[in-house]
Parts: sequence; structure tokens; C-alpha cells
Amino acid sequence: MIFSIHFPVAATIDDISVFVIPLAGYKSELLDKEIKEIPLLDESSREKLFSRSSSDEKVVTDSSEIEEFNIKSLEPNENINTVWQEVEELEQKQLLPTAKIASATEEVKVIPEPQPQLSDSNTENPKNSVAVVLEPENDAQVTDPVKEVKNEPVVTKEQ
Amino acid sequence: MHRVFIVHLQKKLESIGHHLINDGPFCERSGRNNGVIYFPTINVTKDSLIVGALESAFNEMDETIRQDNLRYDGVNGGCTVVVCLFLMGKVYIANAGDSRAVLCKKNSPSIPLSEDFTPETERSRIRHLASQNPHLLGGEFTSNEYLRRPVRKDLGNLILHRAAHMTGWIYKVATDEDLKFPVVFGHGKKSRVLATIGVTRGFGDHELCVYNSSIRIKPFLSSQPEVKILDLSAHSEKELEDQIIVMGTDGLWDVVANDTASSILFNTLDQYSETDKTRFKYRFLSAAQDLVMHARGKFGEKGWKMSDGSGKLLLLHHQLI
Repeated sequence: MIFSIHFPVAATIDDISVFVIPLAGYKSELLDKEIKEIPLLDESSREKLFSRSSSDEKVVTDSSEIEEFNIKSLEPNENINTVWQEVEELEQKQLLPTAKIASATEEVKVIPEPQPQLSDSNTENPKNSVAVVLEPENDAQVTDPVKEVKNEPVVTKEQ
Repeated sequence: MHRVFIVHLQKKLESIGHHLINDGPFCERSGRNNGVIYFPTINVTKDSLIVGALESAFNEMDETIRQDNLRYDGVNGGCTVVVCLFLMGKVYIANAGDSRAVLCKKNSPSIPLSEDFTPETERSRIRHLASQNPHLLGGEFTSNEYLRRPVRKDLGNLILHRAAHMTGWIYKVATDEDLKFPVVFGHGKKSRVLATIGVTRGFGDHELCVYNSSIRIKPFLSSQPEVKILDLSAHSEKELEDQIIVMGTDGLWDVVANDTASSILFNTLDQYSETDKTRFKYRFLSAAQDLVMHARGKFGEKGWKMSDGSGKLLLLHHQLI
């Protein structure tokens, strides 16, 4: 059973990270191209991964798996949100760091911005948040013997 | 971190793989007495096996971070976690912390797929843990809760309080013990465990201590996720076209309500025509960015803030902490 990980669509700036997962399309061509097999990490790989991270925090993520986009390259519709226009103006004034889009296995650290005295809302120590999307490569279509209500997407809770 | 977590989860799911392709319920068996003994009273479903795999992977990931924290320099801190696992026509949403997954449906109310774990929502668990393990409080905190925090002039007077095993209030005579700081203090997003941390589940934070003391926070934190299950198998692709999961950190959800996020999401998607294939493939990317930009607000003289009242609350909130 081989599993893969992908971030269908992700955007992150500072402590704001958003991942959008269209249920109808999580196997579409758009998303499949993001799927990557996750190799098992042996001890030497882990040693390499973490020893690099201790000297350079950014290297925790394999940079080859990160795609970076400039906001302007996305050609957003001007009618969508006036924020876009303001973003471009701010970028020209170099007040706004370029937003980066994570598509691989780690959220992207963004260039520090001019911040008023903001602290993390949860703790006095900076904290990062992680969001992971997993998808099996081979979905075994097995019927669960437990009957569930299927009129609407049902949220059940098992704790 | 994602990679290491995937390795943990992959191992767990592989261990139950043979169950997932067979019909349940499943029973434990033993080889004692020269034979196989079945315990048919415990019905184990596929769902419970997958939930168990997720919970176990969360626990192992937290332990891995603990070991790496001891072994490597610079591996410290902590994070909240939300995981969506697509498996056999279902989505398993595992959450530990205050990141959130929300099912957004066009022209319908959004459905939260996770619950936040904060000192506010886990007040009872934290206080019970403190009550049973007073040595974890370092003599500086109390598991009691007070209607009003007692001060020295209250000593000897009757004050309203409730112990860890209570939900109601009762009077007691204030003693020096009551002057200690409550283990859970504050309300809402301003609530804190041991006056330090505002989230009660997640990975890491093994080294985190109360400021200027050796009282450790980690015993009060948990890596156990709450797992919810969303069944997609009864729905056609057409039905699912207008259903989208948005996963976000508290930076988003602190300032954007679930239904507002849903509205922003579909407003953005509506701007993209399927006939314009070049732009159409970026519609979800644009929606994600719109949500981020909406949460971030606009840059003004006083820094980033939203144009409506919620942004002001955010800045005020940050300044108060």
C-alpha cells in the first residue's frame, strides 16, 4: 500500500495558511500532477534532514519540492477582489513580501514583513501550524459493513 | 515534518491493510491453549482501525519530535495539526489543536469538520489532570477556579469557587492556597494553560516551560487527535462539485468565520469561466490566496489590519497578549 501526499492548493503568509481541497476533483489532472510518492526515510536521511535544519531552518523542506509563484503571475481577475490591486501597489513599493505557494510537503516560510507588535495568538513562543493531506494511491473499494447515513456528507466522531 | 509523519502513518495503515480489504467486524485472537481463541464481543470496524492508525501515528510523531529535540540542536517548538486522509470513499479528518477543517458548500451553511482544542474547550481535562497531579503545578498554580481571582485581603473570607470535579459553584473560606494562579485562566482566545499557551493539543513543545520557572507545560498538552469521518461514497462527482474542504490555521479562523470563508471561496470560484482553461486551472489557487489576503487585511500606517471590525479586534487581541 503506497501512499502519497499532496497539497491540492495552498497559500501561506505568516501565520495564515490555507489549503483548499475540492472534493469532486481530488483525482483530477490538476491535482494528480502534485502527487508525489513519499520515500521512507532511513536513519541517514533523517540525520541529513535534521542536521541541515539545525544550521539553516529553511532546509527542513526539500526545496526541490516547493513551487513558488508570484501573485502577479496568476493573473487574477481584477473584479475578484480589490485586494489584488492593492497587493500589486504594495509590491511595487516593496512593502509586501512576495507570497509563496506551497505544493509539496511543507509550508513555505515567507520573508519577514514589517509587523506591528504582533505576537502569536496561542503562545508566547512562535508556533507553526501544519496541515497535511494524504491520499492513497490505490483505493480498495470495500464496503464497510457499518451502515451510515448517506443523504448528506455525514460527520461522525470517533474519539 | 510532513514526511516523517507520513512514514509513521504509512506504517500504521500498512499494518491494518489486510483488514481494509476484507469485511469486518474484526476480532482479536490468541493462540493460547494450543488453539485460536476469538473474542467476539469486541467489534472492530474498518473506521476504528483507521482512526487508531491516525491516533497512533500522531503519538509516534510527537515522540519522534521529543527524541529529535534531545538529539539535535534547533529542533524545538511545537505546532497544531490537521490531517485529511482520503481512503476508501471517505475522508478522515484528524485534528489536534486550533487549526481547522471546514466543508464549504455552495449556497448552504458550511460544516465544521474539526473542533478547536484550546484551554477554553479543554478546561475540564486540564483541571482534572492538575488536580490528580499537583506536583505538575510546581506549587505556583491551582486546579481550582474562582468567580473572581482572590487577593490577599480576601483571606479568611468566603469566596465562590469550584474544584476540578465541579461544574457549579460553592463558597469556601479563602486560604493562602487560593492565592495561587489558576491552571486555566482567561476565556476564549485569551485563555491560557499555566499562563503560557493557548492551545492544548498538537505536536512538540516538549521543552516549553512556564516563564522564568522550571514548570513544564507538556504534561498538560496532548497529541491525541479527534477524528471525524466524512463519507463521500454516497455522492456522485456532480454532487461533490460544489463541496470543498478548506483547511486553515488559526491565523485564518481567528478573523474569518466559517460561512464567510465559504462565501469568499465561492465568490472567487464564480469569477472563473470553464472556457478560459488557462485561468480556470488556477481558480482554487486564487481562492486560497483570496482567503489568505482577506484574513491578512490591508497594509496601512499602523501595519496590517482588516477593513472591518474583526480586524481591529485581531490587533487589539494581539496587543493584549
